[in-house]
This record gives sequence, structure tokens and C-alpha cells, in this order.
Amino acid sequence: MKVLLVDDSRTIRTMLKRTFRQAGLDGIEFFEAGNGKEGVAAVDAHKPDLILSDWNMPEMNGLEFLKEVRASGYKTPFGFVTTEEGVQHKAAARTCGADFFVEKPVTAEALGAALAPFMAKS
Amino acid sequence: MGYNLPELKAVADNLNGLLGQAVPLSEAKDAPSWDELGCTYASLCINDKNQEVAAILADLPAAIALAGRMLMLPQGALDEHAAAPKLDESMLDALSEIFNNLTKALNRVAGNPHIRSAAARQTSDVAPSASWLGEVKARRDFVTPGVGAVASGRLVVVAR
Repeated sequence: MKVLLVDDSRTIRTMLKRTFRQAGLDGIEFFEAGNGKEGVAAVDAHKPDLILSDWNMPEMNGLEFLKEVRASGYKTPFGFVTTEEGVQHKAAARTCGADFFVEKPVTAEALGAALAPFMAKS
Repeated sequence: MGYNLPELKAVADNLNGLLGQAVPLSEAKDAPSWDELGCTYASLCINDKNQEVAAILADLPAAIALAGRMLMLPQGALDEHAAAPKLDESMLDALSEIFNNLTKALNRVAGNPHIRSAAARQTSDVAPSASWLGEVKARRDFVTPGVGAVASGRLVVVAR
């Protein structure tokens, strides 16, 4: 399974990979991007099976990234990993095609639960 | 209406949740100037109208203590960082994420507008374009305890 992690923090990307392992999600090939713009390029280049993105990022934020991904015709499961808790943010993301949310700080339990429906399909 | 700052418990709970261990913060009685604190780092907090309304700052010891915990560094590595004049790139990246997570504590204060944080930078680099940091409307100082060569430090939230 190919997973794209999009976050402007290298620390968070590293922690996310570790959390995947802690959640028992092994055998994953990770790709990384530092913002939405890089994320769009990574989606085109690697055709990931799953995308996890931060919300607040420079250059292109997570919502803009999601819109680009969906506008390009990709139906890849897309989740936000974010500190944003607002109902309005989540509603906007759902409208644009987000599949799930995982709140930072990410625990193995929360990540495993959020990804379970998509891991089963892969 | 002014921007309201979070209480000690909200900040401590936020850090505990992120870092996975208790951070024994206490509230400081004094509020030294940025110059008195030496090398400090700041993230400006921006509302949905792109206005700077608050900021989160840490002096070098607090930054090392918090970012070091986030990166799960051993005490020996923290001691090495304490001997350096400023944070390296990975520690600064971790500090940015700590500040980003702390925006949750600010956003949860009733009545506050939604904010997001910019990346952490040395305050000396931020201050020229954010002169309001020199004259804030509200400020709350928290003390991080010293451990090993890492001295006691300051985590500060301010409102414009």
C-alpha cells in the first residue's frame, strides 16, 4: 500500500510513520510532501492508495490540496491530520471530498480506527 | 473585544497530550522583556482575516525542553542542545509543531476568534514586522523546570 503524507513539519511526518507502525499498519510504502503544491506533484508521480494531509501549510493549504486532487479526478481516500477542531472546517473538508479526520496529536488507536475502513479495501 | 489567553491547566494539558508525559509547568509571577530572556522563538497567531492577534513564544531552555521531549531525545542530547546558541533545524521544526498544537488551547478559549500559527522563528527575526510584540495587551508566562544542563525556561503567550 502506498501512503502519501503531506505536512510542512518533517517531525510530524516522521512521527506519523512511527504511529503507523505502532498501530500495526506494516508493509506501507510512504511518500512525503511538505505542502499541498508538492502533494499534488506527489499524487501525480506516485498514485498513492491513501493520502494524509495537514490543514495549515505554506504555499498550498490542505483544503486547496484536496480540491486539486479531486479536480484532477483522483478518488484516493483523503484524510486530514490536523489541530483544527472547528465544525466549519470539517464541513468544508467533507464538502470538498475529505473522507476522514484524525486529530493531532495522533495516537495509534485513533489512526488505526480512522484508517480501518480503507486498509480493509486495499 | 480583546483576545483571551488560556489558563495554565489548558496549556499544561495540551502539552501533556502532545508530548505523552506530564510537563510540570507553573505560572510565573513576573514578565521579563524579550531582551532579558535572551534567544527566544515566536510563532505569530493569525486569525481568519490574516490579522496577527496573538503569539506563542519560548526562550531557548523552554524550547529545548519541549522540542526535545517531542523528539524523545535523551538527556545527554538535551544537554548538548543547551550548550548551543540556538536551535537546530529539527528542534525548530518540532517547536513549530508544539506551538501549532498550542493553538488548540487558544482556540478553545470562549469568545476567541479562530487562529492558526505561523512557523516558529527567532523572535529577533519576527519582531521587525510584528512590532506589537513590544507592547502586548495581555501576557501569560509559564515556567518549564530545569533538568540537567537545560535551565528553567519560559513559555509565553501574548495577545495583541
